[in-house]
Amino acid sequence: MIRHVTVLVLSVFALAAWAQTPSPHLHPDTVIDGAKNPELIPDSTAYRVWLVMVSELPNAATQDRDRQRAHLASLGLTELDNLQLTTLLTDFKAQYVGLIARYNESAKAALAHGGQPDVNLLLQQRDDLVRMTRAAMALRISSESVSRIDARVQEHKKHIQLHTQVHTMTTGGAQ
Amino acid sequence: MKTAALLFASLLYILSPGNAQAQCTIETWVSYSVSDSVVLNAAGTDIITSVLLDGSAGMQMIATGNCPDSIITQFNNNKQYIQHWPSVQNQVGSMGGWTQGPATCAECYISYQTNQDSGPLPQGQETTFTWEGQTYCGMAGIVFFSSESILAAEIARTRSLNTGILAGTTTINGQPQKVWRVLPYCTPATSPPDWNPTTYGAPADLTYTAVYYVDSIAACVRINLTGQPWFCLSPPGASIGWPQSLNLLPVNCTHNP
Repeated sequence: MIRHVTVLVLSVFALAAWAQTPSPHLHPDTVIDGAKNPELIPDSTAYRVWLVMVSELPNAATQDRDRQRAHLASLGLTELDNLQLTTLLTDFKAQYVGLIARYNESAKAALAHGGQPDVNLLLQQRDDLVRMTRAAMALRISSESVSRIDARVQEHKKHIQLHTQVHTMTTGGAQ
Repeated sequence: MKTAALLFASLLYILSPGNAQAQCTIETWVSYSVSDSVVLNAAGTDIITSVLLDGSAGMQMIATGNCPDSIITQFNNNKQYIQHWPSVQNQVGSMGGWTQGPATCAECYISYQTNQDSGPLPQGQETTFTWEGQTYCGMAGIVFFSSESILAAEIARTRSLNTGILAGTTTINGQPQKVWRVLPYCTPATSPPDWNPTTYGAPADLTYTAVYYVDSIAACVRINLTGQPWFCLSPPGASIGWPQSLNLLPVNCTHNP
């Protein structure tokens, strides 16, 4: 068993060493820089990024919880809305992390069988989660607080870059 | 396991430069959001920065010459052994730096964030905040990087003067508030201040003369170039003091042009 694992590990390293010998190439990055064009960052993306950045899991460390409080304090919400938002953010984070974990497990399983994971389904579920979280905010938080959150998310667009990048590496080559 | 190792080894042999009569291309594509955020800690003494790398990736072998199907099939069958590592740079002043996240599969979704506390920063002192995201592939090397963003960051302090003009009412932390229009009240040498609030929410039962002056602080960032505007984040209505006098002189505000 150990010998087989060793062969596999060596094979991976050997392939890595070989594969980097040919010409790797990073194609020009297609980037939307929110600092320059915040209007090009979709609301759904801005909300997702903001929700991910300010949310914490229930078992978050004290310093992470403090960081979250600092972010939420800067919104100036009522105590009740602050509490509701904190609960919504915890739910969001747990579902977001769970969604990704389940997808990654299914991706590994698909790859192990020579298959292809369905990332489009994940992206749909991810965006649905963001949409549902926004809807829950509208239901459980006052309209004034929702307006403040929206203003903050719109401002956060300046802090987001969207990258689509392709990296190619041509192997072999003797024709 | 033995079969997989043999398959992978055979793939290596077939693809090795000495044997390859074919030209195949390994293509990796990513769709990532990279984001930063800056906030003041509760004590108003430290800046806390966050950097997030979030998105999906895919990897495949494509025929760019006479790449045999057998090689493509073998590559796809062994893709499970290729790993990706997300990294983010999150450095504020001398604190933090590059951090590598856990290994994931080549087609796994990545959501990796780090948070960094600057430690206590004197008000008005500029520091740098550098952030970037990157993904490293165990086989293909760096398959994604965002360009490095270097920002200037500071904790800015400003004294404001209440104009007595009511901009509206609101509720903060359960307390009704009157929102007053304010103007900066800084010495000529420190005007305009980097942090320039235009309104201030004070408890509704206070007359405007009771909050005639407002000293407030905010976490501010800008592109690390002289002359660039500052973007500040401060709690609406947050202050560090209301000097209770009607005859104060303008003070030195944070002003880093």
